[in-house]
Amino acid sequence: MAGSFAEARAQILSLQPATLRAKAGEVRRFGSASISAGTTLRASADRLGAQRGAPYQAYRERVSPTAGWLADLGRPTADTGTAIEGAAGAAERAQMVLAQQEEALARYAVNPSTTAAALAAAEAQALAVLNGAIGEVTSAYQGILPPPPTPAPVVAAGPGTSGTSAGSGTGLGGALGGAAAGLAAGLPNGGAERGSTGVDGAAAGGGAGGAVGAALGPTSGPFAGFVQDPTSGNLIDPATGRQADASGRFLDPITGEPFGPASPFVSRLEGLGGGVSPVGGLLGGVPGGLGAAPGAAPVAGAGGAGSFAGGAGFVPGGALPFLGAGGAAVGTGFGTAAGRGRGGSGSFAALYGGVVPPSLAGNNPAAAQLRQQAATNLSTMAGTAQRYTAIASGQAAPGAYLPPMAGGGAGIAGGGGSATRRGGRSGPRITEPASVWGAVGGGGSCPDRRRTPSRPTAEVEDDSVWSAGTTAPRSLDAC
Amino acid sequence: MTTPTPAPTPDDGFPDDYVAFNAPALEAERRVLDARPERSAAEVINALTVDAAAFGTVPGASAAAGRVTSWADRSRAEMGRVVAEVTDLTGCTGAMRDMCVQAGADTEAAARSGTPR
Repeated sequence: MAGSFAEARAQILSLQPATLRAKAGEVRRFGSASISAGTTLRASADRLGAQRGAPYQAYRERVSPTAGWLADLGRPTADTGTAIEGAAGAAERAQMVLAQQEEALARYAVNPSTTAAALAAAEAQALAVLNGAIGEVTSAYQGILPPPPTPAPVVAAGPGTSGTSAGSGTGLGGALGGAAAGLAAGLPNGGAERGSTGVDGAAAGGGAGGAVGAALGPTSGPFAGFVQDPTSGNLIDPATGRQADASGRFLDPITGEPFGPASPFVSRLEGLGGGVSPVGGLLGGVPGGLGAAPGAAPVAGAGGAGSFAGGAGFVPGGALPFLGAGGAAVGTGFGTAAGRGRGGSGSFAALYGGVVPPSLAGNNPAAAQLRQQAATNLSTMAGTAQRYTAIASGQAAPGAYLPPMAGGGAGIAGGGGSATRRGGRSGPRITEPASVWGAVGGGGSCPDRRRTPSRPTAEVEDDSVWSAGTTAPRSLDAC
Repeated sequence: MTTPTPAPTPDDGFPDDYVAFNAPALEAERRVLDARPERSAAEVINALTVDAAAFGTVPGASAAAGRVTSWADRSRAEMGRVVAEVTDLTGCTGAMRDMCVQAGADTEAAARSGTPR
């Protein structure tokens, strides 16, 4: 159990799930190959054993045990491979949990109203989550119990063994020799010559009797470049935060539900007023949700991050508690929410192939707030996916966590300066091409769209959130 | 005076000490063995290296890595013995085939000449 966030982080970063998975594959291949070899040898033994005569029976008696031993390797070897693969999965989930916690902490840290004490409390709670993930990896490791293979029932001396198989080949030869002698004995002159030449003689004929004994995501196709959430299996676009489920359907950025027929979520959202965030209630009982006050309370919600999907789920809103007060800044800080806000749900439709996510399709008083929340969720999702990619590829930033979107928004804003105020972020941040947001204009002359007159006031965040912001407490430096 | 009971014979009518000199069958199985059916498994286990670092530094990692390493080493050793066994079997089967060919030829020659060798 790690005693500090930095220690837990180091432990999780030390995991190499891809390597483990590869090893699991190799172990399984060994099992499969063993079964195949055993099957082939057993068939050979049966075929020749069906022939009439002691030599053929000797062949079968010698080959069958070896064939059985090879075939019996299959099951325990497959179990071992499965156990290693399970450990790899646990390691992947732990790294995703780390990415989620880091992203959430980074977003929380950048909130101007986050105090050092609150951040420390958040980090402590994140540590508990990480320790839980580490515990799962440890449990998975404890399940790796490959049974030691029994000695192979062989006659011939193998490397590293002190087998007593001198003249193993003569077991068959001897038997055949004896049989041939017996046959020849029926002939005039006894046929002793034949028998005596029966392959090294019957002296070793007793040998026959003694022989009884392992991506992150798809690299091609429409979701190439997406990252697969090891917990839910959903695919996440690191650039935009879009999600798709295993069937290839996009997931609603608010509800996490795949697009399809109108779901209950839609009607419930449409019936809500704008004063209370509907997101908190929908995403797993996060108290406060969007409207939660900054401080310890929102952080406490971190433990509920997975409640929506079960386990350490990676779902829209997973880090929402951390965004209690800073969500608006975070959403726009990604450099894309402004475009969405001005474009309304149509901008989201551009993201999703022309289909507006169900939760954003309704024209209701909460629409602006929902769009804002969707932008925040997408931003969080993208940031987490980027962190996970970096962690899984062994390129995680050396620090425990870094404030988000310092550089990410700048590139997306089409040269606008509004999102560049926190330059210098060193962590990886992939930016999506402007085209994915549809309405983004190019060139550095793009005005600050946050001040577009047509934009609903509900979407205009307080300018203070774009100020220099807070710096990470010194306690983070140690991480 | 009682008639002696004849010795039981197999259903196929051959006496128990009958040996079929089936060189083609032996050659067929020798080829099966010569194709080294165990080779694939041996190659996989020989190539399998357990990198303890891949297990990380979480609690229980080194123990798990040790168990897998031990299992792999043991499996390698045993597969080595199996390889030797199949090698030996291949040679034995070839020798049997040769003996059958020779014995068949001798038997045929004896039958033709009436002078057993």
